[in-house]
Amino acid sequence: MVNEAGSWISQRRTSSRSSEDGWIEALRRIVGPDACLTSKAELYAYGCDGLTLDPHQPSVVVLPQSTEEVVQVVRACRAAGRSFLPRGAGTGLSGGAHPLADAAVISCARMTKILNLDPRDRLATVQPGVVNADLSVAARAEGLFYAPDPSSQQACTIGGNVAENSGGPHTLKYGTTTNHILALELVLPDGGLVQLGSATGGATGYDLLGACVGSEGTTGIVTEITVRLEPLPEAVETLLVVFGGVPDACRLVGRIIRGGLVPAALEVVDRRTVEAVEASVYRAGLPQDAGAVLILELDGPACALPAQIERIRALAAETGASEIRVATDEAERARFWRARKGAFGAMGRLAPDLYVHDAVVPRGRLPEILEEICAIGDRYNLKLSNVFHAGDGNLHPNISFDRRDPEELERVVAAGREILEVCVAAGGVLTGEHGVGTEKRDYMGMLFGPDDLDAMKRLRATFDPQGVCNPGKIIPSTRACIESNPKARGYDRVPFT
Amino acid sequence: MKQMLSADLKSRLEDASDSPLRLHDPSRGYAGVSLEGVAEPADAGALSRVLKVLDEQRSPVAILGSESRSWLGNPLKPTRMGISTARLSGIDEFDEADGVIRVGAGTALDKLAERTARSGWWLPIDSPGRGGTVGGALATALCGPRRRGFGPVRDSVLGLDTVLAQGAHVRCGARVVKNVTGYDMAKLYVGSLGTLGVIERAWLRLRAAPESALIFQASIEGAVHAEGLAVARRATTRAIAVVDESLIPFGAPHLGRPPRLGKRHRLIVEFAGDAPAVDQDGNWVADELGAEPAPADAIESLRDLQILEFPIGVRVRFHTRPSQAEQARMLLERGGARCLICPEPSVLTAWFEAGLDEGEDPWWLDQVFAVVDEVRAASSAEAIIEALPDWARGRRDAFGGSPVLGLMRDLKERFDPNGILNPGRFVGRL
Repeated sequence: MVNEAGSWISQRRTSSRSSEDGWIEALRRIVGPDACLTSKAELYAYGCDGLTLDPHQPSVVVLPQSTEEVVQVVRACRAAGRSFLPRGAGTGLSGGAHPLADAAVISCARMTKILNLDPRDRLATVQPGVVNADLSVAARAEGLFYAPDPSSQQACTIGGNVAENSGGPHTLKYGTTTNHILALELVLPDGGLVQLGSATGGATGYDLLGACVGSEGTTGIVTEITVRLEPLPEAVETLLVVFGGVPDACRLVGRIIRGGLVPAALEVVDRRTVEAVEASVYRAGLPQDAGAVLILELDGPACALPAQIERIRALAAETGASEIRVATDEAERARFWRARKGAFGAMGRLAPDLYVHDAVVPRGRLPEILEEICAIGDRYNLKLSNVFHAGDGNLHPNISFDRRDPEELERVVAAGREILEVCVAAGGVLTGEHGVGTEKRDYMGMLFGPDDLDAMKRLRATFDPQGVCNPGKIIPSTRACIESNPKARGYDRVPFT
Repeated sequence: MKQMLSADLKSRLEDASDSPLRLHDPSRGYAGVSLEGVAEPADAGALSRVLKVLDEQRSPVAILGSESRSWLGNPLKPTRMGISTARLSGIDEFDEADGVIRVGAGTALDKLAERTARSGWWLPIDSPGRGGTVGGALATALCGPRRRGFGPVRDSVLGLDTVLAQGAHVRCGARVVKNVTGYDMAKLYVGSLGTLGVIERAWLRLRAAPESALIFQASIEGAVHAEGLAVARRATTRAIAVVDESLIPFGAPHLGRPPRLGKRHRLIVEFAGDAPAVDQDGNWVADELGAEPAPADAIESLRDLQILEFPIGVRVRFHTRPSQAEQARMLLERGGARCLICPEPSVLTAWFEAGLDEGEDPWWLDQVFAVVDEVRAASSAEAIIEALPDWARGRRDAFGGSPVLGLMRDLKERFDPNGILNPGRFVGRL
């Protein structure tokens, strides 16, 4: 139903130099010359997102400032027969912002206004380039915060979060981005402008808003977002529980869930990560011999938390915890979180490159699946560590490697695939928060059959019948088998500079 | 079987569903039509075969659960066949450690809730009225007084098995509680009134039963939405409603007499969670509003009230922002309506009752619609007409249209190209 990436483009595109120049000139007139990037050096930074393998140079990068400019840019692209894609901060980890098919990048980096912050209705309307953490900072004065908190929240944008349906450590209690979006203003791939959803939370008809969140920029360019804000909790308690190994930590997570407790966060950090963190600038004062640590955050009415802590102490003792620390002040709380949030940075000590994998399994199967994942890492002779959202069953096996070694790169890709196969066989899925993008597009067949994927194509075609908006993402192409080969995907031609 | 359904089609449908067609009670009707036969497939394969036959014949079909919420939506376009999910019922898998469950669409909500409660889990689906099936609750996506605590229906759906109009059996989502693998297709099917596909099975996320739950009621007046909103925003509020006292004898008599006489509205609130926090909120509402303990079945009574229908009357549901709800309530009451208000998210259900001399007078109905339109315009509210007198059904789109109807029509055509699934019932008469 939807053309494969770029097929419509290749039919429509005019190849003459003058028409190419005319298109770029049209874009410059819309956004201004400084906001239209065309030199190779300028375009280089937009060739990929946080998945730095397999970059693709865009044809042009435009940085509009308003909805009207986005509408005009999209129409200009359509008139020139060019595909295009939106881009937030480029912190995504699945290649969702890779400009395939010579696409134009529409960066939202200059659309950074908080248009409205309404404490009475507990909502805010923002442009897509607003940084996630900045919104919570702005809302704090009103006793509110924006709940989705991806690890990259100091840099990632609300628009990017909408595209990826981003999660974060506090997803367990507060849900992912989709649970907090009330309405979107969307520039359709044909240049039309629509409002999806409603600030009332009660829009009638099909839930197109819900279908667009997490669509990885394939249904249009989001230009305004109305989000729900949450009240700051009255009290927060952060605990650090030390175990001899990851399986025991996972067992405590299972006991907590089964016991009816709903912590705000349940994050596990394994031994290899503890070692890396403690040897880095993120040092959190963790026991060097810890096999795993569980960072556990409780929030809610102050009167309820002491009893919850006591219940957790009892459950932790039953599951073999060797130590429990309760943060006594904000500084200690921040130190506990450094063990989690500094983990990816600390991994830089292990190898030049880090592949941050993402999969989800039923929570009850975490201990056995983690053992299998570690066995895969050992079998492929890879440095594999685990930092993950245990409360959601959302795993992040991290593989430290050196892309300059093509043989090691092959092993990284093969191990990554095996990890997904193990997770899917256990009733899990390919991604919990990073998205499909290009990274997992060709693995979609592990989880979905042709009819399932065809239904997704029908949805996409409703918004973008000609497949011009962020082509080549999510839906596997008929060439999937060939492209799943890492060399065919271009991993071997990535410069290391 | 009546003669209008051809013997050939009947035979093919019975072969496809591996069972005889059931007669539909001719005295009941369904969404404005009389059904001549109902297929009862027992599994996804049979459901797929039945739909293929109907699609080939371009034969419209009504999708039936327990028929307890057939009042929602527009009347069906002429339709002779129904498909019941009655035999697609039962629990396939219940992971009691993880709080997730896979059930058939025809599973009765009350029995399912009883089963999960025995294991310490709440089924967070709170449909108005009583009875109903899982498939019906998901297809209508209606919320009751516990919407404050449970969130919208869609938040409880982890995965769906659906059969599309042309027989494709498609799956979306999974059993895990966090998932961004591909498009979030479940969002499309939930709340679509069965017009995009027939929900066959679902993975649902359950909620841990709270340590403590207490229900209170208080008589209030004046800025009642603001009062209700303050209560709704307490940390442990799970259910809340503010009700026009005059509705209670008709729709929720179990609530009994008001705590105080002479006040127009009654607030009912349920706090649930950790015992110290529930006690704290209970003490607060008693001190601030003079609230008293409410009957144990107060929440069920509110659900009954939500579907109250007067012999000649109109029921309309409005969604507003909290800041605009008070204005909406005042406009409605000035226009003769009586309201049930859920303060956050702000949903007002308004009843207009015709007087004896207004009977079947179109002028009365026009007056009601004028009030509805005034509220919509003044409060930027969405309005859904839930009940109309029989003689007035179909005069107006029950959903009031949508600014993105073109996209919705396109979506419908891609999923149901021959328009056989519940034709005419949804927004824009899709």
